Amino acid sequence: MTTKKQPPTNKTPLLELRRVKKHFPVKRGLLNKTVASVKAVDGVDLAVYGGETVGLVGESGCGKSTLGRTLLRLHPITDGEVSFNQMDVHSIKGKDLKQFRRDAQLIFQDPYASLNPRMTVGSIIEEPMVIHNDPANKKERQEWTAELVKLVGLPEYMRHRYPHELSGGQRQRVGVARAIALKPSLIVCDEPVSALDVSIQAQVLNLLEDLKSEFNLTYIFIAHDLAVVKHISDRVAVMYLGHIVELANSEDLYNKPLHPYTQALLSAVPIPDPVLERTRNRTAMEGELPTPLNPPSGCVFHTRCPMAIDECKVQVPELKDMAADHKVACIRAHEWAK
Amino acid sequence: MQPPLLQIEDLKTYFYTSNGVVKAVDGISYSVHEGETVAIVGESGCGKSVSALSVMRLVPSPPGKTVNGKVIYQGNDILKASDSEMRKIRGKQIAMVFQDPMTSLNPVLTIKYQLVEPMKLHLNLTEAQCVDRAVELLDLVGISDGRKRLDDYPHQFSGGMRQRVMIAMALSCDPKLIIADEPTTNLDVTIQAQILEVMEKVIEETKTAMVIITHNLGVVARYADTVNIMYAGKIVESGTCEEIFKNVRHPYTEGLLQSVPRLDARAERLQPIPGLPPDLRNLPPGCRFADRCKYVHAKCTEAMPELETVSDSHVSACWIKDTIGVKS
Amino acid sequence: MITKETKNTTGEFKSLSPPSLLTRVINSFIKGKISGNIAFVVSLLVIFGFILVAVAPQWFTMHDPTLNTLTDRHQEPGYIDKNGNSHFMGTDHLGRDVWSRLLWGARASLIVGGAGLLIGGTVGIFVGLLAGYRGGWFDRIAMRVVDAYLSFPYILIAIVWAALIGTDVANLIIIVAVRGWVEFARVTRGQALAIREREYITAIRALGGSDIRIILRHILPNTMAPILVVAGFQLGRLILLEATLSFLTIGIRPPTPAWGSMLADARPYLSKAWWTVLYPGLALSLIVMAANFLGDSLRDKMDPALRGKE
Ligand SMILES: Nc1ncnc2c1ncn2[C@@H]1O[C@H](COP(=O)(O)OP(=O)(O)OP(=O)(O)O)[C@@H](O)[C@H]1O
Ligand SMILES: Nc1ncnc2c1ncn2[C@@H]1O[C@H](COP(=O)(O)OP(=O)(O)OP(=O)(O)O)[C@@H](O)[C@H]1O
Ligand SMILES: [Mg+2]
Ligand SMILES: [Mg+2]
Repeated sequence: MTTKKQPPTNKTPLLELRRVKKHFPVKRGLLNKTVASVKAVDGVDLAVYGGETVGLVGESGCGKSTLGRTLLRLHPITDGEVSFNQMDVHSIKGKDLKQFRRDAQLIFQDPYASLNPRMTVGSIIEEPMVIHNDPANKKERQEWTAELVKLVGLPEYMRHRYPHELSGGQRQRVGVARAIALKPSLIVCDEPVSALDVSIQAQVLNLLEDLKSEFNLTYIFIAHDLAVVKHISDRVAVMYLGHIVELANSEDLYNKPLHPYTQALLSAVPIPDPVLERTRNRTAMEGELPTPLNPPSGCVFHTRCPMAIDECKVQVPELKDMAADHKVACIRAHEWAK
Repeated sequence: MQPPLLQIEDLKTYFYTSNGVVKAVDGISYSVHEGETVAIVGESGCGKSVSALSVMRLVPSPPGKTVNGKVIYQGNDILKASDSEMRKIRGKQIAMVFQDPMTSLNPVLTIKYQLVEPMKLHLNLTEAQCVDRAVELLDLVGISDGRKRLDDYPHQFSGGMRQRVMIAMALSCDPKLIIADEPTTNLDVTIQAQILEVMEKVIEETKTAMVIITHNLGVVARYADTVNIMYAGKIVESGTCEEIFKNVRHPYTEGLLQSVPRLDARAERLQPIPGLPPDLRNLPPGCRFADRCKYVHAKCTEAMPELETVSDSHVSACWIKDTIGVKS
Repeated sequence: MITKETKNTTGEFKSLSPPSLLTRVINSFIKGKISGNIAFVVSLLVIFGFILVAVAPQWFTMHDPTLNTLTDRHQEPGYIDKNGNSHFMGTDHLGRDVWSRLLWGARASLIVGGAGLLIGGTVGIFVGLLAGYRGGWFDRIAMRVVDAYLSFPYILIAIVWAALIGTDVANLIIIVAVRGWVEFARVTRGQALAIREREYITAIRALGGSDIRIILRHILPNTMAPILVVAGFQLGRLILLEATLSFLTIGIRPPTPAWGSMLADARPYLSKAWWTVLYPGLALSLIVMAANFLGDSLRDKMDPALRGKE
């Protein structure tokens, strides 16, 4: 059912990011003067095709959520362009904007914080339909709500419950039902299973996969659990300090990672198999994530990179094709690409 | 074989709330030998933290109360120790690393103060010797310019570094046993790897025993010698790491292993455990896993299975343990 | 906390509106221990009694509160006049029945205090929501005004104002309301500021919900608990303000009875006729204290109830 590794058939992407930057000003003093800026996303290019799942991984603070929210126009953009169905997301108005709000949705990490505690599950799921007045008829709305509740695997009576009466996994299902209520084409999933227990996590992941094929959805799937991202994604983008450093089809990325950061990240994930795990080699990575207030020059990873050479401190690597469907931003990648 | 360093027998800790009795830990037994790393694994709310707190006698009371059992540490029952004896055991003999380093470090005191104070209390050292030792410890956990950083406050450290300070604090009085409650759960994989590596190294060097609480099966596979799988307040399967991963004999453990996606394999579809863990205030009479178990049969809902031997180093509490997972 | 599902198979469609605060309070009352609720219940009863008296004072007394009987001046409590009517709180310096003046005076307090609370509350909540949600210049101005209010004795403004525009009931209500909105605005703004950052608001923004909808449907209901607490405190504060104005003879105009003016009238005779001061003073303290207790116990109740703890 979930056929993976489908090369993008339609040539025009559903969503395209061009040199997207998002900087947060750091303000000080009485006059609110901007003294510096947090370069949370600093020049990201990415094309997402209809029907695929693109994973977005990276350490905490590397800008994954910011990227997701900027492309949904929940933040103003600092520079660059996001186009969705060939429309510039950050400049559309009126009807187009309204349509965009229907077509692109968000699922959150914290299933409790993202549900209004004073609304019942039923009215939370109905809310998008009320906002867009679709269906306009209250009875139809409630029928569709009931349908959605069933679709995400909640028992019917839970429509009348409040979020605090639900378990984490059940809450996340409510968030999912709300996101698909308007039958969108794109959903940004911002760590939708990170807060859940492993057994519940698997339930929600399966649900997301089922809904994807049923509604022909496109996912941008943000997570820091690499195994989860690998499982659900067709392609994976690895982010580091506001940049995408590697972008590849998920099997390739995990089988032959080309960026030293991806290699380090993958080797840090322990595998639940004692024999395999105790014989694996680790690629050590030193130190911690530098602050995005003042990112390193040249390649942003050079301060922690075991392969860094002097040139890395000055030359900014471009995200370039190294193999079919495999882009890397590293000036030395060709040395070990073969 | 030597007697175990720590032996827990039929430990029960309940919470008496206005909505009923929460049987958070309901009769668990396990032992930890010198230099051994024991993992406790299970889903959220199954009683892992409470079992650790019970050993340290730190369960908030009321509403919590350890109602039954023995915690035998080096031949003496800790549960019967006086408060002053207990203070000597905490930190000096058994140290704890908590999940959230921000709330367990005091934000208004320097790292130096927090590291040195317990040493002054437990060890016969002068202030200067304590400081030297603190620097050594920081070096051990990978904070290199320790002497400079001693005067910093917790907020000047990143999450990963705070957690390392916690480990340094736990090690400061040369404990024989460290209980680490999800020491890396909130951290990135890269930091997690660094910290666990540090802990592994330290433990090897000092021959300290460790109880590590986690729900990350990968971490267990890498670091644990013995594994206890907990479900709804009970240990349902226990054995050496190889046995648990390669010779699963409990449907819950099997379910856990099948529901995590793996980096090294490709599953078209995950196989989640259906449903939710039971309410600890209102437990079923039979096997607590029965209503989520795909192998369930009549006996399971009638009587609770006890832990029974699978092999020398492996026990499982399941009526049909001999038919589970034999294929793999 | 995960609770086991009780099978609720009745398929009927229940109302989708959130449970009212009243239900929550009542629930917490039923679940909670009685001791913690005595203050709450007693203060609630006092306030209800006060409202009842203010709405229908004639049910509780046969006397006309404005009837002067100069021959019966300063009669002690328990006095029975020539017509056989008893004055169990005595009479004042014009021979008027203190008890009935007290009852009718409650009406003035409630009308001015209550209406001032409603108007001030509405305005304050609105200002607070807007300031908290939108931020920017509106927020900065509104909050400077609030600061100015809280650092300047309002009574001075009220005196000048009352002197300028006169003091019919409508004017008094406005004067009281203009004092009353401040705390509402401040608390609501704080709430709105915090709730605006919650993810469920982001979720609605991502769905294209309008600002009005976000404010009214998603922020306002979540600020109600602390607002109710403020309302309790404000009721006491505003009744006291009305009494102060009446005491300064710039409030309710005689002969309409008001507690403040009763106190003012009685002041010269304090040594001679203690009852003319004691009873209105007691009534005032009782109401203000009840309102404050109500605010306090609401605050204690609201927090856990709203977090959904059991
Ligand atoms: N509203 C904001 N104002 C200022 N800085 C922000 C804001 N939101 C995010 N940042 C900063 O931008 C950077 C990227 O944050 P972001 O939340 O996108 O990271 P992330 O990759 O999603 O991390 P996590 O895995 O922890 O969710 C961080 O340094 C963060 O501190
Ligand atoms: N102070 C308390 N009062 C009442 N019940 C409590 C209290 N502390 C813990 N519990 C209950 O005890 C049970 C076990 O809790 P515990 O913290 O040990 O879980 P855990 O296995 O450590 O879970 P996690 O993985 O989420 O840390 C839970 O059901 C919890 O609700
Ligand atoms: Mg994030
Ligand atoms: Mg815990």
